[in-house]
Amino acid sequence: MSQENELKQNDDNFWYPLDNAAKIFPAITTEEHTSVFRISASLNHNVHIKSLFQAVRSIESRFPYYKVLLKEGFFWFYFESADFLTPVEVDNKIPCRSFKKGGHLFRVLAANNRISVEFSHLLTDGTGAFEYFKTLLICYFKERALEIPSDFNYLKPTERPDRDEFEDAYNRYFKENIPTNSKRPKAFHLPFPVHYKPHYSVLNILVSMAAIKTKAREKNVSITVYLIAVYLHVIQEIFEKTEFSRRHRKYKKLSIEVPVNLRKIYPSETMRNFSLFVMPEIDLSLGHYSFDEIIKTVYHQMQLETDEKLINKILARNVGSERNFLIRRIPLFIKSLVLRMNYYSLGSNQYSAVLTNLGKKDFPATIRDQIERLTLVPPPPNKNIKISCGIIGFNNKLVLCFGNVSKSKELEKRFIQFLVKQDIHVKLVT
Amino acid sequence: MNLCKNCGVELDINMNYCPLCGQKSTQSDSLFSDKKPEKKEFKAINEPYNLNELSASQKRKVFWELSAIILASSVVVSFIIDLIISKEINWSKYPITIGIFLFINISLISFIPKKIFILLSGSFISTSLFLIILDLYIHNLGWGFKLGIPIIFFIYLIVFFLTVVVKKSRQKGINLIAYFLIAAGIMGLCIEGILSLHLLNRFELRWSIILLVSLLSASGILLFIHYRLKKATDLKRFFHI
Repeated sequence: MSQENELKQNDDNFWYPLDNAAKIFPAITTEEHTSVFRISASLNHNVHIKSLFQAVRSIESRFPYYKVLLKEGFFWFYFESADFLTPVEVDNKIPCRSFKKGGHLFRVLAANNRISVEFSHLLTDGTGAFEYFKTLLICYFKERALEIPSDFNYLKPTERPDRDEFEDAYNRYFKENIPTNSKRPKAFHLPFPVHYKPHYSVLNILVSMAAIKTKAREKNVSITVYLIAVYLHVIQEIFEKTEFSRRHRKYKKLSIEVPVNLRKIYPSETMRNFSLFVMPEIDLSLGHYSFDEIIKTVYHQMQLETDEKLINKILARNVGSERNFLIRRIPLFIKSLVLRMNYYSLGSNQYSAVLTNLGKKDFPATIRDQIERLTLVPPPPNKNIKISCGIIGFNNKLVLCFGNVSKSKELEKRFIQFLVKQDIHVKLVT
Repeated sequence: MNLCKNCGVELDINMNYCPLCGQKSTQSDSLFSDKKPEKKEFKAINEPYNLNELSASQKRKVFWELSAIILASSVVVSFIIDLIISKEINWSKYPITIGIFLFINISLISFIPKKIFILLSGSFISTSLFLIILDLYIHNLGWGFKLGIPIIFFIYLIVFFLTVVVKKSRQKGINLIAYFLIAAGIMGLCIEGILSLHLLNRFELRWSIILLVSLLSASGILLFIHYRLKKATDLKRFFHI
């Protein structure tokens, strides 16, 4: 059945299948490995709660594709529209907590001077969630009687949601009959013991965007490439300088999973997931890499892997398997078992850590000085990966948020030490 | 400036409660207070309290304390009256036994309400002991062992499974009535089986079969209404491939 038909019903009672990226999450999500990420804004004043509630309520109908519940079909999970008010909660627990089974899949949180949104990856990716957050913040500041320039681009609450925002863009851009991506060898995993429950903790590092940009420019690369290189450099240090078992040392490929926003490659207005991963890597069986060598190889791998034709290969692998005649007709409970097994063998075994950069964000000048900084908290990584990094920039402030499920802060410590050695001022923030 | 002490957000001047956490508002003099937000604290149980402000576990503790006081008073009063009138423990052994039995069950419900298996096991053991003691009081007729305990064993077993099924049910509607009816039908079967073994010395089922079939039919209709008719329009989405 086409998506067109699914959404043609009464707008108040629509349903739609999960997009390609979301299909894996119901099978692998647990109480600790929640697949939930957070975007926060730290304001320069305590949150005015009445204005926040009014802002949340004013955008209730603008994002209907998020006001859905996950339902279990016979062959696949699907989303069904539901009539609930967006939950607004006190932000006094650990970030990225799991959502109740069968319940809503996003929430707004507030405490002191911070407003946050948390989304399950089932619903959307960082780009989609940020669009929601942007509208929420704009409406909040409007409630606080601040002027928003009419030419500022955001999804206005008075507009009807466009049908393209519901789109499963993976299916739209899937090309048949092209070879799929081959399986990669197993990557090195950080040998740190996992923290007792709750596993997840975060460390936010605030750095000057201008300082990082200058350093990246010295190497003729982007901030993302620079930070991936630092990440790989630090993991290499851990591999070379710390004591750990031979079992971990067997795997000498260090690889970082980096989500790529496909909206930048394929035009799409979708507010659902539309990103894929590339995995720049270094192979330590070839010897030690200097930082400059890492930068060079990461730069070229990123250039190569984000090429449209190679992205098509990854799309073909991911979407192609979902479209397979037999796979589609396997009952859901069997599919979930297989997906769970494949997640480790084909997924998280292939990379050592995750780095996701949402990029530099901007707000109108009238509200810019009301926001101190933005933070992107990545979803809790699984027990293999242990550490993820979420990056977002705003107003010359870049926040690197390390989400960690291990007992060790060795990686974060070495990361900070490296930046400090590069004369980049580092500040730890809440 | 009116700040919530619990979550640190700013409240409108006319807000008495924080809509985010429900905490009573307090007026603050400064816009940017350096004070850390205080954790929401419940009053200690031995302080005077407002019942509405207590957590669920604290309410259960209050209920347990009240029950203990009432039961202890009843037991002591019965004992003293019996002692004064009869000069020995005569009829007061019944209210004393009942009081202890109730106290054990109220304690189980108050302190482990969520551990269903332990709760029901504890309750089953205490009820069995209660029946045996009653049996002994009335000159050991033996019905406690032969009838009482087997019947309550099946009651507890069925209640356990019913609780698990109800907890697992995602949609709670008339399907719960159907589960209850099925449980009642099975209970009838167990009771008649135990009675026939006790009275006729053989396993024989008559009325309970009719009861079970009737209840199963009624449950079937209820389950059909709940799942099939409600989902009739949803089959496309349920079976989408």
